[in-house]
Amino acid sequence: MTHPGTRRALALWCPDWSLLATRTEHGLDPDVALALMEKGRVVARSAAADAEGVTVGLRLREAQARCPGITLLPHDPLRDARAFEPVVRAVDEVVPGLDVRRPGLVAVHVAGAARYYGSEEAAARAVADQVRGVAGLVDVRIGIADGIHAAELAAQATTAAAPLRVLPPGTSRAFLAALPLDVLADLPGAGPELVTLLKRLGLTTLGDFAALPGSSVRARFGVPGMQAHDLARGREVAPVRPAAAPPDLTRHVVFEPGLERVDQVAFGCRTMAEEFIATLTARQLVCSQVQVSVFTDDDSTGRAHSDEVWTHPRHFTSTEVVDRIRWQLQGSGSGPERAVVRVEVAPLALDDAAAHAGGLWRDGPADRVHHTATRLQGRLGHDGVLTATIGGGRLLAERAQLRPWGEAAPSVSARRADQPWPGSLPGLAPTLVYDEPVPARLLDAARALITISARGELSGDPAWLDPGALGDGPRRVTAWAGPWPIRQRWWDPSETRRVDRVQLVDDHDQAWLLLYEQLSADEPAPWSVEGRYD
Amino acid sequence: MFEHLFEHGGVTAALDLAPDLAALRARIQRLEGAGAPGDVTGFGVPEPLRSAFPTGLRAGATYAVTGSLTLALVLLAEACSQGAWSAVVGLPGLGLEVAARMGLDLERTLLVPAPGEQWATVVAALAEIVPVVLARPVRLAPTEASRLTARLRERGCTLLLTEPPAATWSGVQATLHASPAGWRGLGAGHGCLLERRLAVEVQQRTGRRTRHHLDVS
Repeated sequence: MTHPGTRRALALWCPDWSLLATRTEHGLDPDVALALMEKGRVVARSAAADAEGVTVGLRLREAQARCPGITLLPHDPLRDARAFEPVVRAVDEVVPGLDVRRPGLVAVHVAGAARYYGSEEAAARAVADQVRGVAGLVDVRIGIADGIHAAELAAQATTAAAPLRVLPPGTSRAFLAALPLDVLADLPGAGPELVTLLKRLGLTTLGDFAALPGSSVRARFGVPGMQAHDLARGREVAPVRPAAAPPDLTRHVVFEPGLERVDQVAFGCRTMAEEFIATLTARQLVCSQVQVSVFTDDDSTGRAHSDEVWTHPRHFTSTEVVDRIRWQLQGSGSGPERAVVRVEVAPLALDDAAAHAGGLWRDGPADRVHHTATRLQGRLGHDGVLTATIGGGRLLAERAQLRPWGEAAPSVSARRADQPWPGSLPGLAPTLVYDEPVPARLLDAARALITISARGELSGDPAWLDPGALGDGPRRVTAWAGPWPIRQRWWDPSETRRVDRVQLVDDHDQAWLLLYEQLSADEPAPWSVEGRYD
Repeated sequence: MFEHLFEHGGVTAALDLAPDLAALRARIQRLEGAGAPGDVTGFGVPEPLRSAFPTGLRAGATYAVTGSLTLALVLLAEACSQGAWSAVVGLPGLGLEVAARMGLDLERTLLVPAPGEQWATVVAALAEIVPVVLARPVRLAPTEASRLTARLRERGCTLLLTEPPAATWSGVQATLHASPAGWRGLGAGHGCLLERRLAVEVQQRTGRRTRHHLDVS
């Protein structure tokens, strides 16, 4: 029985889409053992990894133990979605009105296409022929059934040898009834908890679940349970929402022959950048993050020579896009020696232009600040104008994290400011911090250089300070405290640091923060000035 | 229009809000660019310096804050305490941590550590957008200095200089010279610095000199 209002739907499913997208991006071989990780657990794994016993939900260490040669990469849903766009556009050329359910799965109402191509099977073959080969896609599965959910499950019930499954009208419910309850686990709202609960109640298939009266299911499991129940009965809960295929907003420019000078490339990119922004504007969109890819002529691999993501606190204008291209060329140092043959700009974060429209009367102060800061960056370079955040760390130069204006602030967890930092400086912080500590000498009353023993003891009481380049001759120390030990990363021999800190006031009433670091046994000047209280 | 609204809320409310209203009106006037530059109440100064600057630091004026970067940071943080933007020019080693602890909002602070030859251009451009700039002065030609002073006055941007400017620079409103007057918290081998005492000598343009004491913790 077909429920009234349920329409015939076609679902196109690309098995293991995340793996395919990752492989394409990283240029990996299909038989490499690969697993995608999220929150420390495997979320997808390739056939080779599966053969070694790597399963979904495994921890990182366990996966490495089972398959030592495995390649582990983070799962990136945005990359999946980006890579899926060409597929969506290809399907859209054959059957318009798509609904992208998730990267790797599109659904479409099939009635119109079936009329046009003669039959549902012919429509499915047309879609499959169109898609095969796009974005390295080989394995394409198609299911046709009453309703999108049944079509999706039909597509997942196919095999690589028989990639098409058509359930004739009216048979979808019987098909669903035979399936195990586990297929509900992926459903938003329902989830594995509901499945476990139903199994404990003695139900094993969707048919068992569908046989329960709807009112009892609603009373016991609420709305999510009701939705799952509707699906089990073959009712369409979330209908296909037809939408136009996403337009290709990426723009590129090709230089033939390749250009070697940065300003030539920047000039050549100007028209492309204007067109890029104009396309967005015509669609009422603004872009706050772009990926700039620069290809140079000696790249036979076809992969980007430099690939960088640039973020904007508001949204890009065409000149700002050109600025980013120029900064990227200057930064990579590819300008003079390698000829640039192609520059590509892809939008990564888009937003509705209406949310960014200027005020009616005047721009807000933040806008004016931004315009001027950007203009100054144009004059002084990308890192000419900075903003700062205080992050985690023990040494002062580590704690002040500077970034060029316009780059997104690191999150609290990324700058590790929310963690305790035993050994960080208590009390007042110095007003002058030296990025490169300035060599100095700390002497005792007998004018002998003070050292700090392995047990963290001073060889004598500080009596004289010679601040080296920062002062003229030794000064008498009137008050001091320390040494405060800082032992960083002692577990890693290449990164380990063993520093002691001393705070002192001299007879000119100046206060200093000194670091003691004995790099080698015959180090002549272990003392340096970390900061100064001016 | 506002008075009319408050009639419904009772007379007491209108009386309580009168100073707020006056302040808001002044702010609106300032935003619209109306009113002479002199009549604007300036930025707040710390309590011990209040007697030398009863109306605060004047918008659009230049002050030399010498002897101690701490004093300059105290004044900058105080000026920005109402959420204003600020900029720091030519001070690459500035202790940002102490600035943040004094209340400076680093998210609203632009840092131009190395302006190089373009010092005057950078300060003039920043004067357009931020109400207070802290900068290490460079040697400027007299014409350039007077052009910059005029721009600052027109934009109402207060400039704090960390060193006494060259003699060619005529428009300094007041010089604040800080000299150290002791520390608290550090002993012989124990404790840590907790508070700094500064003796501040203020010399106004009129020649009036006053002495103040400031504790910074």
